Amino acid sequence: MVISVFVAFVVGGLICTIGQLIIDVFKQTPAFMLSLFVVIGSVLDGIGLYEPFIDFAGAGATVPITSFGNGLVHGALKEAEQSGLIGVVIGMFQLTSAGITSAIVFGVIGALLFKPRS
Amino acid sequence: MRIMCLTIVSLFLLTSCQADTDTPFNQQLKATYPDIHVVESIVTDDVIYVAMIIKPLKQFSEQKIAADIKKDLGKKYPNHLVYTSSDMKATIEVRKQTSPLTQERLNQLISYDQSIEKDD
Amino acid sequence: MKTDTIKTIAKKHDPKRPLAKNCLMSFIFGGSLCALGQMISLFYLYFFDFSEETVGDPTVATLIILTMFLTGWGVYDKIAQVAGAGTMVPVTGFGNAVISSAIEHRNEGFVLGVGSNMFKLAGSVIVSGVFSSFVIAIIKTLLA
Repeated sequence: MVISVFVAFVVGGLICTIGQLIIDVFKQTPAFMLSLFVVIGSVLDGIGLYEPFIDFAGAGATVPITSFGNGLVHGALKEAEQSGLIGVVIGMFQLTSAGITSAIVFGVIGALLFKPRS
Repeated sequence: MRIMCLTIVSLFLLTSCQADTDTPFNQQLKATYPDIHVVESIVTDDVIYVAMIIKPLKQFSEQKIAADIKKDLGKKYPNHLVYTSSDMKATIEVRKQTSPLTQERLNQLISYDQSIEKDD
Repeated sequence: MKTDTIKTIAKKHDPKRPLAKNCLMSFIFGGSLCALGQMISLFYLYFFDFSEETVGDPTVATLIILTMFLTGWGVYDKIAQVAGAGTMVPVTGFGNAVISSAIEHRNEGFVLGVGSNMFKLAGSVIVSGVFSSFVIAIIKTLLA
């Protein structure tokens, strides 16, 4: 069970290294790299490879931003199974609300608690 | 630096903490299915519930492995209802289970069986 | 012809990026963040009612709360200078982008300052994510 921590370390590290290579070798901006990773996450879940990847790497696959793309596609497909094509727009944010909601909520709380440093 | 060494050492110590020796049923499961890393099972008169953690390198296909084992055990024990789960949560819950199994508890454990189609 | 000369001059003055060191640092810091995430996941698996499928949500939420404190105290930016992509790729990088913009613009008021500036970086991530997921989900549903 504890070995999952080491697997998460290695896999997460590798994904971040690929991101670093995209920024340094292909000379792209961070925003481009992050958007690319989210799209990659979506594509991998469309193929059906991301869920087994989460089984393998645990947090190494759910912590990087790629899991965002996975959550979006997963929610969309789940709802589409039940409601048909319109389900794609209905279900998209059902599984990803954790990340976005926390970022917004704690952004506001952070702005209340902390002073700007510049 | 020292804190990092302490964390790594304590993690190694934790990995060496195995559960108490396996029951004969668990030992038999481990011998028959070499992909299993850790297994906990509950066997009653009508139900067999096997919670397993698959070996790390094989975890990519862990749900398929658990489904195959379920089919296999279903053939071996036709008079029992067989459920399997590769979810780590199932192993944790089965380890915590010391009192006899209630239907409610069984239903909760069955929810970790990923090969069953869930009707939402 | 002039553009070629400008390009060669620009290439000469391109800041040298220590590629190997950057990659090593992102590996270590990114891996550590994910390892921390895995420990948080194990905590939630043991003590709460989450299964391996659903434990990603509280893990992400906890990491973002942690990011709020690190960003507010100025620690996250110092780590980000060393770690590069190791702090951008995990969801904590997303959280840091949103939270640091929120904190910086708080003097402009909550609705106009905080509200409209929060999603400068996150916006492109969310837009590309949602649109690509829409296309992929539609294709997959039509093919099935």
